[in-house]
Amino acid sequence: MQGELMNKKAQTVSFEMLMWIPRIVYLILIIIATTGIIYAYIATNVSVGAVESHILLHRLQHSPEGIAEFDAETKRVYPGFVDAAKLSESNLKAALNAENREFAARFVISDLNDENKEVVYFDRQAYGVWAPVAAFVGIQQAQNAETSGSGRKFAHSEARYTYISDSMQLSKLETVVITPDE
Amino acid sequence: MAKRGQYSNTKIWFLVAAVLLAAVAGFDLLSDTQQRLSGTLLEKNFIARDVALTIEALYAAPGDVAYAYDLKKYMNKFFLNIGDGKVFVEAGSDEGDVSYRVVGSDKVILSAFKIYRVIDRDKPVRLIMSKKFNDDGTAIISFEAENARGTNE
Repeated sequence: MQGELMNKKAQTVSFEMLMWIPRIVYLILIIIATTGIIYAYIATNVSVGAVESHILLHRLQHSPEGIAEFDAETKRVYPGFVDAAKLSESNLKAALNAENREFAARFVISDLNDENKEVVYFDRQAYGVWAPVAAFVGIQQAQNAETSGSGRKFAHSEARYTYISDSMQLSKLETVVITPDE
Repeated sequence: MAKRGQYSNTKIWFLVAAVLLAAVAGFDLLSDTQQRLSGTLLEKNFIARDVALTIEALYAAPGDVAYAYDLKKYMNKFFLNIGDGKVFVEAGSDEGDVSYRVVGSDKVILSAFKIYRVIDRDKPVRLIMSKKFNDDGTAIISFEAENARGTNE
């Protein structure tokens, strides 16, 4: 009788000791979860994706190494005039020394009836992947909803009338620049 | 009586160990949180990104331009280093350094520059960014500092 009682007590003690292990693990998980929630509300970064897209778009459209007409003798850039020879993927890559999947852009030149379209990409593969994500971000921003997550893509688009310098033909230039949020 | 006392002691010791473990883990994580709140990571990120975007905007200039960027008194606690296509903001403390890349161009050379000492700590530091075109159509972006010592590495 006493022996059986001792065995049951021993069993109770060993069970209690074993049960402390999951209790301690659970306690640590709760502490980690609480700290994670606190970290989520601490801002340590500034999102500049949208601003950078805007700057890079204007760089391509207005800088001498971009698509704008540039007179080498007078060293003058003519904004509003597009040099058709510069509207190529190789020239865009030289104008922006960006690594793969660091920046993507699409230029569409068409006549005023939206016909005879010519499309040029900067990093075509990345543009194809990022464009739907960037469109989603745009919708969210339009609804004044906060977007979160490191996979955001920021698109900046512009449409303007330009002259093609060779033919002096009035055309429409639509540009979309997408940068990831870092 | 002694065996019942032993049984209670075991339980108490486990309870004490669990509380100590929770206290140590909680204290460590909360002190890390407090360090993040009082730290300078946000300021360093802001300065790195703002300077990088200003340089990218300078790339767009179609002619010679000089722009003075006001760094206020941040250089009293940080070091600014521009090079390798990135802007680095370094702190002298144990906190990590921060960098942000600059999307460059094959036709524009970005000079390296580092601010390593402030002359008068009561006055703000200004970073003078200059872009100058060469005769062959290439350009160079260079830097100088007002109220600070800098080096072109």
